Amino acid sequence: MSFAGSFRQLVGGLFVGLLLVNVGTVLADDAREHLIGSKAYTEEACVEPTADMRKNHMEYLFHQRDITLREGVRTKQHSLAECVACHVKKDDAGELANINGDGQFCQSCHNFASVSIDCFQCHAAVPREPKHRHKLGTSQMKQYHGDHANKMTPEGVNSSFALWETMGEQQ
Amino acid sequence: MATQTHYRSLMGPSPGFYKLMAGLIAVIMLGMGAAYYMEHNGHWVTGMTNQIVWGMPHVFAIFLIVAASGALNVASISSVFGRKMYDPLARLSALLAIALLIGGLMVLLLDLGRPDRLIIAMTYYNFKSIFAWNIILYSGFVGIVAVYIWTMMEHKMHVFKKAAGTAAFIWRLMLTTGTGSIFGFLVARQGYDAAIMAPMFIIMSFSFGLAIYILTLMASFNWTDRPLGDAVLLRLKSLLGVFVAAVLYFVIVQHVTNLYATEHHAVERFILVDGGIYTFLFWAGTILVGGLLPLAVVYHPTLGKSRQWIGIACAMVIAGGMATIYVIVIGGQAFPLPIFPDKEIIESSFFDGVVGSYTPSLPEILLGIGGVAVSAAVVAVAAKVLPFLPESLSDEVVDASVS
Amino acid sequence: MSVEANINQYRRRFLGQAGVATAAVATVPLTSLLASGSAQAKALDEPASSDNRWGMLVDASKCADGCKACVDACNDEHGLEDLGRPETDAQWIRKVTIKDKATGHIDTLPLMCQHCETAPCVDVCPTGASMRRADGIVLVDRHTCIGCRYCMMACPYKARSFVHEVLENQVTHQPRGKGCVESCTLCVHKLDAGDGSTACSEACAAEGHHAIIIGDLKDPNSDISRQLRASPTRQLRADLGLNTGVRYKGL
Repeated sequence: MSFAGSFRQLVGGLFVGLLLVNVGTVLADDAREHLIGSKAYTEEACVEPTADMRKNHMEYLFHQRDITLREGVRTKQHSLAECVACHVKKDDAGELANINGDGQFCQSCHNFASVSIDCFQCHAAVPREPKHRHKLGTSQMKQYHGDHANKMTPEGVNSSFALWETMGEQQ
Repeated sequence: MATQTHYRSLMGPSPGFYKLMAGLIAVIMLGMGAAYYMEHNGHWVTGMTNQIVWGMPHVFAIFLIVAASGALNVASISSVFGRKMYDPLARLSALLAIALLIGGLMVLLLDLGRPDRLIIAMTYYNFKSIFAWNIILYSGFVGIVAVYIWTMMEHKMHVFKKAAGTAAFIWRLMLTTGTGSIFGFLVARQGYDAAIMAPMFIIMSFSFGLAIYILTLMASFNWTDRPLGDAVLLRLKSLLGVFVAAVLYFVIVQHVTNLYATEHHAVERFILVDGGIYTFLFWAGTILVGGLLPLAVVYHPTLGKSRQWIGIACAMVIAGGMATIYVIVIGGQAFPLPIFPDKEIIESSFFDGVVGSYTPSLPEILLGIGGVAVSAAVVAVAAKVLPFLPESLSDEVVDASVS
Repeated sequence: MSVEANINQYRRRFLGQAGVATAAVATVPLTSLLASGSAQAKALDEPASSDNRWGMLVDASKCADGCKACVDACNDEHGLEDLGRPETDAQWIRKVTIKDKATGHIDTLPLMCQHCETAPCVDVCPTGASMRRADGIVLVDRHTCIGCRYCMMACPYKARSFVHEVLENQVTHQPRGKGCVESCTLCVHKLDAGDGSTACSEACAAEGHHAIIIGDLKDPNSDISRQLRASPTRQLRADLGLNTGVRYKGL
């Protein structure tokens, strides 16, 4: 464990202590209310027990980012892209809202805890694929992405992900 | 019989000090504002591009860092080489070294793409990287010189003075070797790839650091009405002359050895003949203002004894030094990379094969000057609260302490 | 968790069988897609291995003057936008036209990160953010990049770009943001997904040029290995001894 890691853990731990007490009271009435409108609402459980995710999601993400980038491990259970795909919601205008936007999934808690998120300076805050991917002309692309690729709706995105998954299994 | 040198902090209410500090703080605020502006918008608002990736902030930072290790020389002459006359000058020398390094590091840090990741720079090390080594060398330098100052100021620690001074001297040689090696090992760029960079940076540090030291000494003694005799000043300016001549020698050797290899003729032609601003800065800055003119002044029978002219010579060494660093840092990048040595590049969307253009932007310059102001403020505040400056360096006092 | 573990187990078993099958039919001429694709697809939980080395072969004689399909495809694939500031806009791949000084012969070719074995950018990076994956792909870890640009000073190919502004609209598979350095990833997301090719290579093929081939340099039966054996190729700045993963033919 690097010094930075321990430092993060210490700071994270302090905040989480505070957070758990307060989030508990805030979400006591309906802990799932804030998920309405996202795919997460229709799921029975998150990728880890909810209490564990509230406390340790950044540890999972830090671990995942290192093994994905440096080793090429592409498991999806703790992938940030999957978090975004499942928790993203549409705004009033019907567009997908940035997940770190005000009142959205990440920010509702992070605002409350006064912890800034660094992820979305670089990472896409809504599921987004290249604009013209389907035009690239390879049979593979047409077959698996087709017209879903450039649809900016949760359904389009999810079906696109689903197709991607099928593609993985077929290999 | 050697007498005790008396040191004194700047005591009592002093309007001059507060005016100086107010001015310095204003310049520092401008520098901070410039850094915030660059970080908020991203580097596209500066003159730096994907062609010239290091710009004016790096020129200032490298100059200050190189000068920092050189400013320590006066102290080293006293502690390591045992020259009594330099003893009373040693505290200011060490202070100036720390101050210049802090100023330079601040500029370097605030120009990073992600200055918020300082903690990462301090905790993730790639030990193959000369840059990573430099981070250790710089922080170690501040620590070692701080201990050295302690051994000079605390009577009980005097026994360790020579040891601490020697450690600091060895460390400063490593530091400047490291700074020069940042460029010396860049095999990709013909303007840099030369082992002579490391010793050349060491000798440049001697010269730049001493010039800044002399100016600081003259200004602080003048402003605080302390007597400064000719014995000290003339000794220092003669030393400066030797260092300036040595820098000229290294610059000549660097280019002559480079010219030996035909493959380097193009880059040498660029710097020496047809490189526009870089050619101008080389001849007018490095050679004339930074070399020949100060040499002429320092060794002139009458001008060389005038305080005003000694001050001007120091300022010329500093200006020429900035020009030298500018030509090395910016000129070295502006010359195109030899990706296809046997081909001529006739078209590219990424400026391949053409001389990179760079115009320093105001925020970059303000950030650099802010770093200089930080160095000056560190010296001023430290000299205000701690006994860094001797009460007198008049010829009688100096004679008495040496004899 | 257990479901995924089962799937992965299944995948590995299947891959194992596929590998045997491929080996068995290796002597039979197969379409290049099947030959390279099946050998290189890896399970999601399988790390990149030093048993592979991804590389690229550029045939300059097939690269068409005025065509920049590879550049457009790369920009689109990774969400690189033209902000109208060519001096600071990121370019991961670019078209360069060169003329032989002695003979006057003109070539046009794509130029990008050469994915060196002994990469200068990896050597000089103070935080280790510039890194080389086990399978030879040189990447920037944006989580630890501090934006010092020393790698850009060290790269002999001018392959890297610094992100000079705040970015929005990044694509999901390619995070990128202000203050970090970036360069060609050899479409690592596509290679890991088993595509066996890059956006530039696919676009070039779609144009009918087939000037860019991607493959495993350590697999003697891969299309790229066979082509590299068959004809002379060169590394750019071979004098630096960097053993680049990108090779050029017809220069």
